Amino acid sequence: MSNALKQVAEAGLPLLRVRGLTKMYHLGEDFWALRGVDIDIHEGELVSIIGQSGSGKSTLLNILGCLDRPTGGDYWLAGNHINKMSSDDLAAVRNQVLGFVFQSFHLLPRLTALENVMLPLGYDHLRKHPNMRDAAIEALQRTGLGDKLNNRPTQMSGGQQQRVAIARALVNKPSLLMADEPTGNLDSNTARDILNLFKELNRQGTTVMIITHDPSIAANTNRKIEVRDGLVIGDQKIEYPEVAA
Amino acid sequence: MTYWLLLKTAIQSIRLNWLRTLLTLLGIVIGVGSVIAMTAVGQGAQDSVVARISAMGSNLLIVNSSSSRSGGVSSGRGSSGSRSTLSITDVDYLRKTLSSSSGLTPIVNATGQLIWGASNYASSVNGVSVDYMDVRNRQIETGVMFTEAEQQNRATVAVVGQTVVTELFLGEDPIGQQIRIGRIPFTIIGTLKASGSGFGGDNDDLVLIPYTTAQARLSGTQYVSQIWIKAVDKESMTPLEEELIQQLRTAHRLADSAEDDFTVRNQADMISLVSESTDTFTLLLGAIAGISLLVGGIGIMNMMLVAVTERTKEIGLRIAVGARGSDILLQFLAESVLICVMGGLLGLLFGVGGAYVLQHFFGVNTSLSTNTMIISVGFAAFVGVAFGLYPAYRASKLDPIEALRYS
Repeated sequence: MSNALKQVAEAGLPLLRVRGLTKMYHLGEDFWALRGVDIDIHEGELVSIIGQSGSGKSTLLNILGCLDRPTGGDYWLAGNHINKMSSDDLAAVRNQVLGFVFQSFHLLPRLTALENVMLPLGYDHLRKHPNMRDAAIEALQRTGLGDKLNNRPTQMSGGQQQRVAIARALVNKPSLLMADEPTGNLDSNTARDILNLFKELNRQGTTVMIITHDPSIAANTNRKIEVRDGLVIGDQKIEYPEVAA
Repeated sequence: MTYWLLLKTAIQSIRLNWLRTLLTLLGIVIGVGSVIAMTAVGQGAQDSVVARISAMGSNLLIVNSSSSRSGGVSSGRGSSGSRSTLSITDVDYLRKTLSSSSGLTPIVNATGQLIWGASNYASSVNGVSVDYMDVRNRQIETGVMFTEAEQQNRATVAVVGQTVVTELFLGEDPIGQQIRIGRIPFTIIGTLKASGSGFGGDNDDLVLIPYTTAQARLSGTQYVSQIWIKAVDKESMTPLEEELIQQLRTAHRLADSAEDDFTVRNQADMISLVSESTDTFTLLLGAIAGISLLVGGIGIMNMMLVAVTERTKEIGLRIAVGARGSDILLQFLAESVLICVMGGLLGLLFGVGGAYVLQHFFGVNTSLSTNTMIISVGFAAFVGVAFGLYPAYRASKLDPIEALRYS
């Protein structure tokens, strides 16, 4: 791929659109984890995808996150037709269009907070980052860790580690932030802080998607998409989301 | 990923497990070190042999009596080995007929007991011509060499080597002293500059007398053991050798069908013959050492496979934040190459150090070659690529979903 990726969808089109998305696994017999999913997510939304384990939400996340390919259906993200792309191009999408936040943080223990946040910039083959350090410092400041730049993950609390991970997801200025059970490993106070951080980032213009099994977390978002047995069974606007205090 | 970042990441990973890295690296260190030290020993052996051959003089042809080429039953070992076929007549004939030689000396061997006062010593007494000094590349230390006139008059004069000075004269100035060789009295007129030990033992343990004297007073025969001839330059050696063989055959009246009854050895041939055999020796040493480098490579591969397994999660994370398969491949490859190059450079240090120790503490002649150093460190880097490729490939093919879930 020679050109930079598209970062935004064309006017009028959603940031993320899937149509008839299916995924089949061969587990002795064929097993359909996704059986035709349609979703549109627009720029600026704060969405939760909720489902029990086995509902297909992890499979959906892996495909939406460009870590896995669907068996059938179409997927557009920020104007890129994802299921037509090569694996190197998918790597670029993960690098530039998406930001990942994981349940267990996935920080590299031997690197400092700053170095962990700089990590994605090193894999950007399409754009130059003359000052990776400054970009990483800015991202860490956005998550409130401007004073912990040189701490290693082992010297930080779970909440701080997750803030480093969020800064890492933000550093490439992604179009969509995907968080997979981001509060699953945190105590309730810290979880509330992290949720508030997502809300704050969303207010600043970042589109955020949170995958969870927990209805109380979903209640904090503006829109709740419910998945069961490989299908979307509910898509509900939340007019007055809970204010985590 | 930029090369700088790649290198930085590799260094970070290596530091994480520096002890394991160091131990694995030892294989490469030993491999490269022994390749360098061993080839230095082989090359050193060759150099010293070549130096000894060269020290005999330069552009030399050596004629030996009785042919060593004539094998088979007809000549028989006993007769061909002991019968001397070169004589003073040949020497005179060659002197007159050879067109281009720059010096010629017979060697008439006449071992004899040297007696000086109460001191006596057995040395090798060589009857030679005036040309000897030039042909054998020897210099006078004190006194003079005998002259053409003395040679013609069969004068009883002698020039002695430094070993004789020490052993017979016990360090006193021998010039003008009278000694006896067997029963014949000789006057010492000069001493030779020391030349050290060489082909056939101590080059300074000898006495030179005119060959005419040796033949008339000591050996009593017409025969000479060897004739040494010096060519004008390297290029004229081959034509001179051909001419020499032709003239000697004429002098010996050999029929066209008859084999030579003498052997001509060419100094250049001797050097290349020795070089060839020591080259093989060096190659063998290098190859054995090279095998240990390969074994070191297997160690690297083993370690890298463990590292890939240990860092499965990290690989998954890197892929998730946008690393391509090729980024992961390069990262692990960079790591194994870096380890091998570090091992190679350490090995270089050990190899050079080892050669130095062998040379200075064990008296082994060594000769370090820049080529070998470059090749062996380069080969270490190649080992890094060759044995790092499979683990790196495995890392690059990991499924990020599985890898992130790995614990």
